[in-house]
This record gives sequence, C-alpha cells and structure tokens, in this order.
Amino acid sequence: MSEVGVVGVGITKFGVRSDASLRELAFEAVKDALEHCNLTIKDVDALVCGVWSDEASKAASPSLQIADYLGILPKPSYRVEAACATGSAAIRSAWALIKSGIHDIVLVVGVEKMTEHITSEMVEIIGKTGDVFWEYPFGITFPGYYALMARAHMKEFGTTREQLAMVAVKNHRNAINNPIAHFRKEISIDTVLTSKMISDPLTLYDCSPITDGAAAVVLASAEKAKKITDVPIWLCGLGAASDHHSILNRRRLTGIDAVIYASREAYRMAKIEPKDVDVAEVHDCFTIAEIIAYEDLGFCEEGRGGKLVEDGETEINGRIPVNVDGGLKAKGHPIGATGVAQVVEIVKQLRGEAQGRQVSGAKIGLTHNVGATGQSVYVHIYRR
Amino acid sequence: MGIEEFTIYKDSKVDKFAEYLKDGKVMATRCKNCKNVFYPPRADCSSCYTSDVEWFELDRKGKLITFTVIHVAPKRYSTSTPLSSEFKPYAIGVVELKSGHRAMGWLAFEPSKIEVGMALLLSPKKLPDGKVTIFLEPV
Repeated sequence: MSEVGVVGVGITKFGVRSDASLRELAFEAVKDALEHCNLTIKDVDALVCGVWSDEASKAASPSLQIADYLGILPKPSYRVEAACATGSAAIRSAWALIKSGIHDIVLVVGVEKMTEHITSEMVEIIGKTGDVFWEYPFGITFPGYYALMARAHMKEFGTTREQLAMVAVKNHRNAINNPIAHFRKEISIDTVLTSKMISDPLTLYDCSPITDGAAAVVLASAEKAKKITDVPIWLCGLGAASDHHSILNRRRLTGIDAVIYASREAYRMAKIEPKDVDVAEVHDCFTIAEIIAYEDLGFCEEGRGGKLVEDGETEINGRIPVNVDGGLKAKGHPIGATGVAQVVEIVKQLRGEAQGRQVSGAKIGLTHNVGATGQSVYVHIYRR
Repeated sequence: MGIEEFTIYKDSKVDKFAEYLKDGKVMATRCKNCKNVFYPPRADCSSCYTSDVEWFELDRKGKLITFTVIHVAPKRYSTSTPLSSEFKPYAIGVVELKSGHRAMGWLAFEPSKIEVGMALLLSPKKLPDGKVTIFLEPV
C-alpha cells in the first residue's frame, strides 16, 4: 500500500498573541512549514483548515479568511471541525484526499485565536461544545466535565490528587525546553494543589490554558514525498471513533471508550503494539485526561495511569515518554491548532530535530487527540 | 411555553419534558419498535430509525456516582447562577438510577455533605428565574 508522508512542519509561538490575528497566526505556521520542506504555496494542491470555533473567531466560516490570506487561490480549501480534535480530523482528511488521488500535496493548518475573549466568555464558548441542549442548563463547563471524570476515576481506582498534579509538574518541566510553549516555568506538586480551585477537584494548574497559536503540516503522496525530502515521516496508522454526545450515555466516566477503538485500529494498521511506541503526544487538556489516555491507549492497565506517572515511566527518559513538548498543559491548547501541533512535535522527534528535548533514537511516534470530552477521537501513528 | 423553560433552545419534538418537570415528573422516552430507552429523551430512535416513541416516568431514586463544584463559571452564570442572585460556587452531580440510566442535576446543599455513593432523589424544581430544572436531593 502506498503511504502518505509528512514532508514539512511549522508552528508559531503559542501564548497570548496580542500581536497577531487569526489569519496572521495561520500564515506564520504555514510559512514555517513551507520553509521546512523547501516548497512554496504554489506547490500545494489543496488546503485543509482546522479551526474549531466560529464564536471564538468572531466570524462565520473563519477558514475562508485564512485560505485567502495564505494565498492558496485558485486551489481549493476545506474546513474540518471536530471540537478539540479538529487538528487530527484535518490530518485524516488530508490523508484521505491524497490517498484518493485527487491531490498530491496537501497543506494542513490548525489555528485558534482565543485570548481576545475574557475568561468567562471562553469558558462559556468551550462549555457549549458539550451537550448544550441537555447539560449546559446545569452550568457545566469543560473543567467541570473532566472534574466529573477525575472524581469517578479517583473513587474507582484510588487515583490520588498528587498523581494528577504529577502530570502538570512533568509537562511544565518539559515545556522549559520548548521555545514555542506558552509556559516555560518549573512548578511543584504544591503549586498545583494550592492554586485557585476551578472545578473541584481540578485546580488552575490541572487545566490547559487559553492560548493563541497555529501549526501547519505538509503531507504528500509517497512518490512526491520522496522527491521533496530525504526524511519523509510516514503516517502509517490511522484510527478514529466516536462516543455519545451526552456524557450521561457513555459506558463509563472513568475512561474514553472511543480512544480504545481508535487506538486499536491505528495499531492494527501500523502493525505495532502499544509497547512499540517511542514517543507519544497525548491530549492532556486536563491532568486527569493524560492519566486516562495512558490507560485507554494501552500504555498501562485500566486504573494504573496514576501509578505510571508517579513511577516516572512517562518522563522524557522513561519507558514511554509522553508530551515531551509540554503537552496541551504547558505548551498551550489553541484548540484548532492542537492536533496539528502534536504532529509537528512527533515529526521533529522522528527526524531528530527536537533540540533540547530529543527522545534518543525515536522511530515510532503516536498522536492522541480527543474532542468534546471523548465524543470525537483520533489516534495516528507515524514512522520514520 | 415549551422546552425553553428548561434549556436555551425554543423548538423541539420533546418539549413536553419541561411540562412534565413542572408536574414533578422526570420523563424518558422509549422506542415502541425496538424498546430502546432514551434519557435525555429523544423523539427519534438512533438504533432502528423509527420515530414512534412513548414517554414514561423514571424511578427518581438513584445513587451519586460523581460530582464537581464549579468555581469558575461560564459568562451566563458568572455574576449570579439560577440558584442565587450572587455568584457562589455551585455543585453538579451525576446519579445512576436503578434502571441503569444516568441523570445530571444541581446539588443545592452544603458541599461538604456531598459524597459519592449517597442515595439521592431526582427532584424537579422551579428556579427563581422562572426556569424548571432538576435538583439532586438527599433521600
């Protein structure tokens, strides 16, 4: 089977980007990605744009302003959206466009501009990604959904408040070595435990921040990829799955079933097992989300995620390094950009270009991107 | 009036849900064809794709399986909540009913008394803002 390769990646500085608009952020990331593979925008056959929220973007169809600003015309552009998994949905769509044969080189850009809104506005906009009809009337928020999962996990498996904090401590430490990360400061377990309560039991430091940023990836057919670069990174395993919109209808609140389905599909396609993964980017929108990810991806048994981080197994020098770029937690979570930014890190790792945070000898990388607290899930596997 | 008394939308095929709440009943729907049960209620069966559903009343007794206390609220709730004219952290819980179905509701009592596993009753209530909602009250 002919494969699809990533030939170039690019990313902006993540953070409060009061110096740039939505479209300008997208441009920065695309320029970086095109320079990475020595192509121009004229070489690109199509654009897939991942941008999550019209409300956050203060626009209807915000991808259209982005497409024009990138100079893609007269080539076509598409918008893909799957809540916080928007970026990975865009990558999967680009893969399918190339595999179908209608395009050879596809540019994916993921972008979000979030900090023009005050916190309570953003909390409301993000909260409405959940079931607006049936759950929003109770004043539920996104930290609220994950707090419900955290408490259920703690009750069922004895996961501790300190273990949740260890995820934040690890990812903040990793972000120190990532120049584009939103936060680059070491924190302690105590910092997490004593920070402002957001949604009990989750505090401020259990939550990913509200961040602006963009990331871009150039994908190409196998034939083109080999001509463009000596080190194409192959997207060799794809898995995607859904769960119910209302969390009330899901089988369990202690994990995300769609991750089990999506990851097993991706492992099968890539012909690997969880133990073969050298470096993983997982969707740590909240600390509990990373612990649940370990379990659902098969890095450890169900209920043992807290122990895995406590034992240092997911540290950069551990058995399975997770979120060595700081993750959503410290690098930041500009929603549409996140899934694409995960690919940027994995590609840098597999090419040996992750200066200061390189996992030595990494050959197989995984991205895990979760939308709407588990409704939309994409797991992708990349190989050198 | 209809479902807008419960949620932020006006139009729905299950708008009787709010009316039933006002009568003190928490209602679910059941597909007459394949007997699938839906809570929150649905007008259409996602399994057999028929739209012949009937209302039935849920046994309101359940057990708390998880909860949270929200300290940072969405804009709509951030100066006051439906429970209070000033903003105070508010608790939300999920109960599992005897039937195995789960429901969400406000926990409008002292947060230190909330415990996973406690027996609770789904209690429809009218709020000061005129809406109807569901509280989870100790049995």
